[in-house]
Amino acid sequence: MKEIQLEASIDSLIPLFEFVTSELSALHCSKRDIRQVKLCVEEVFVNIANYAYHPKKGDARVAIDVSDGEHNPFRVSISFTDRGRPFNPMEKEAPNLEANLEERPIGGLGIFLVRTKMDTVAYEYRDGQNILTITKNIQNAEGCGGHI
Amino acid sequence: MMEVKKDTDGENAIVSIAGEIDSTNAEIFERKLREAVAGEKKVVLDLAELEYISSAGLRIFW
Repeated sequence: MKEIQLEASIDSLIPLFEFVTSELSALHCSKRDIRQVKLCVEEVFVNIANYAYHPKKGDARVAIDVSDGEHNPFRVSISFTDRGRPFNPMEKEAPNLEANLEERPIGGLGIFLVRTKMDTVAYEYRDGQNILTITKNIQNAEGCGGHI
Repeated sequence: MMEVKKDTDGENAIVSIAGEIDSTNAEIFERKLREAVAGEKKVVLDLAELEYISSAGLRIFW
């Protein structure tokens, strides 16, 4: 498992993207898979940056784990942990994609994208921490599994 | 890395967007896009070279 601790702010997206992209590249993931995971990482982290500690500041940890690394596809699991106010993004209603532009509320699209692109999304609040874990089954571009 | 270019086909303004739009550059992108479409009646957005866009960028189109 690899982990990075960051200030929960939009500026932290730059080192976070580097972390995720380099870890997934080392696993020989396709560019498409890397982009999809990066998108989900952004959406989850931005939620934490904007809401978890607002108006105060705080940190968040992001960990990447690979299971069944010998198998193909293998599973990449990314967990986000913060000590901000309890917030379960899964409780938000799915956006109405058929609605007119004027009728659409702001927000809700990010977590919808996460649910669409990842295989599982799980939330728990434990020991004063929000823990959101997203997983994706990934076909290794070279036909073999990888390790972190 | 993101680029907004403007061209015309005689009838429509063609605004081409290339690169990546995420939460770190969505604000700059919004300003560039507004500049590009200001005063135009018909605009065609060319997203062929757009490699990545998150909800921070998508909501600007709305």
